[in-house]
Amino acid sequence: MHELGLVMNVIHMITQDASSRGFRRVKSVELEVGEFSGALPHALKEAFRIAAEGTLLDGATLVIDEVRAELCCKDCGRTFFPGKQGWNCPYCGAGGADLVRGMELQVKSYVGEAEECQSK
Amino acid sequence: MSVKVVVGKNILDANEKNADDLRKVFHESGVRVVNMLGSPGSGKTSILQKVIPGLSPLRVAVIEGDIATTRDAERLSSLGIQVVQITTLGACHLDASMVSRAVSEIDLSTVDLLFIENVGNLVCPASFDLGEDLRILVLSVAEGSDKPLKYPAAFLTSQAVIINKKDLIPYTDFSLESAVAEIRSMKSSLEIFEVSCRTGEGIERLCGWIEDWAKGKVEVSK
Repeated sequence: MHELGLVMNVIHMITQDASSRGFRRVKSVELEVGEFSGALPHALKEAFRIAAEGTLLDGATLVIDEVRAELCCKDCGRTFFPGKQGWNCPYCGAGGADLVRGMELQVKSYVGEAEECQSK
Repeated sequence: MSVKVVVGKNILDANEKNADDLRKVFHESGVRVVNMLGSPGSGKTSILQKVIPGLSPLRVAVIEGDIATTRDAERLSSLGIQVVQITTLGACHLDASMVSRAVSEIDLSTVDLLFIENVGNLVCPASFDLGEDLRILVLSVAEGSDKPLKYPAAFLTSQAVIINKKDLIPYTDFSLESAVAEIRSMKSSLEIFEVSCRTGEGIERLCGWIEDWAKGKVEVSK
């Protein structure tokens, strides 16, 4: 629901870093977005396209690595995905598993384009 | 020439920093802070109206978050406590910078316990740390007992859940047993309170627990 706000944070963060490195533009940005992060990948992409206009990130490709939620059973230590059995461990039946992946909201990397060296 | 830069930063980094600053201010002032979240109409304000008079030895203040109107703040100010309204004008959650501005209007030296009532929404508020010590989620019977697994982040990031409107159970398909089982299957350490603001059932136990927690007698696991 607040994807535009998230994208503005991303643009702000990368603009600062890219400017400090003297990049003239940013070609692509890679995010990691967990299934339970509350952010929708397609909404992030649409918001990014619009919010990047007029910035160093104008026209950049947004790559989103979607991370599926994964649980780890506290009792038997095995990992599994939440499914029809809910969050109970499908191997031993225990409840209260730990969420080990799925809440990610990370800027992983970006590709900047440096000024070409002028030949004399 | 293209150069790849590894960033590895949380998108909500700026909010986390603001929340850490707030946490420091709260700790230095000796104020314990509760972030209350839940769907619109789940009864967050009604619970505060019932609970605050029962916490009388503690000096309580409230920050009210709403998309529009000051209705909730008006309801609470009749309790004779400090209430600051944040009107987000459309934003679906409170963030730490909004709370910072509201906190500057409160005299923290006269407060022991601060409730921050978040915007009614079971999704977005879960991602935003407000510098609180305790997060309480309000789930009401009318929303259905299947909600915990559908809104995992809100439940996982909370330390207590209030199941409100218990008096409505006979008129709905809500299964208290399965709601509690779902909550426990996700996070067994969650403290669960079954409450009805209408009848007053469960309010005394809730007040006692909040008071003990505020006084440091009860520990909660994050």
